[in-house]
Amino acid sequence: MKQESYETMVKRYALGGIGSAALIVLTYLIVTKGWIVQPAGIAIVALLLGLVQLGLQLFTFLHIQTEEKPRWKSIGFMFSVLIIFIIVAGSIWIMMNLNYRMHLSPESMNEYMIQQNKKGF
Amino acid sequence: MNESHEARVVREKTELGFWLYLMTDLMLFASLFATFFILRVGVADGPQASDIFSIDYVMAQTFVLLASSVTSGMALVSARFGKFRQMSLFLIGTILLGASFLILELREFSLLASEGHSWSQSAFLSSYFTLVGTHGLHILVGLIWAITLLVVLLKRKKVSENHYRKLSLFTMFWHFLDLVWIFIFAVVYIIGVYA
Repeated sequence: MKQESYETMVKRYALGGIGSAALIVLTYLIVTKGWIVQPAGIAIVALLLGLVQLGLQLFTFLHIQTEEKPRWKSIGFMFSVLIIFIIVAGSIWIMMNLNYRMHLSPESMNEYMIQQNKKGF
Repeated sequence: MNESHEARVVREKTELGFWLYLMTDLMLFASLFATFFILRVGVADGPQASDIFSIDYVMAQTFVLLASSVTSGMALVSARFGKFRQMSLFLIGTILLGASFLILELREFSLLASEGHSWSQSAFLSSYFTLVGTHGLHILVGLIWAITLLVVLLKRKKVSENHYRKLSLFTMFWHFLDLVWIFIFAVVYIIGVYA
C-alpha cells in the first residue's frame, strides 16, 4: 500500500466528516422543510442519502478500497450486504404478503395480533 | 512510529479478522432493523414515533457521534506519524464526545420511561428500545475500551507497534458504530416519523 502523507490522511478525514455532515443536514432539511412529502419519497431519499454516506465513510474512514489484492475486506463486506439484503428484504416481503393474504392493513394486523394475544396461548 | 514489515503484516491480518467480526455484528443490527421496520406500526395504545421523537435532539446526537468518529480517525493518524500529544488529545476528545452521545441517549430513554413509555408498552417501543439500546450498549463497551487504551498509552508515553494496532482496531469499531447510527437515524427517526 502506497504510504500516504499526513496531509493526505487529514484531508481524507476532513472530507469524510464534512461530507457526512452535509448529507445529514440535507436529509434534515428535506423532511423538516417539506421538500418531499410523500412517505415513499422520503423513505427512498433517506435511505439513499444514508447509503451515500455509508459509501463515503467506508472509503474515507475505514479505507475499504485502499487495500491490496486480494481485497478480502471488500469481499467480506459485499457478502454480508448480500445476506443482509436477503434477510431484510425477505422479511419485509413475507410480512407484507401475509398482510395481503389475510386482507389486513399493517395497522389492522396489529389489532388482530393484540386480540389474539389476549386470548392467551 | 516506525512500523516494521512484520508488525504491519500482523496488524493487517488482525484487522481483517476484526473486520469479519464487525460484519457479523452488522448481521445482528440488520435483523434488529428488519424487526423494527415491520413492527413500527404496532403502537397498541401507546405513542407513535411522531409523538415521542424530536428530530432536533437526534440531530445533536448524530453530530456528536460523527465528530467523535472523526476525532478517533485523527487520533489514529496522529499515532501513525508519531504525534503522541496530539493523539492523546484526539482520543480524549473521542471519549468525551462518545460519553456525551450516551448521556443524551440515556436522558431520552429515562424521559420516555418516566412518561410510562417503556419497552413493554407496545411492539413498536420494544423493537425501538432493542435496536437503539443495542447500539447504545456497543457505544458503552467502546468507551470502556477507549478509556483503557488511553490509560495504557498515557502510562507508556509512546505508541508502540502493538498499541498502534490496538488503536486501529478501536477506530474500526468506532467508525462502524457511527455507520450503524446513520441507519438508525435514517430508518427510525426519519422514516419512522415522516414516512
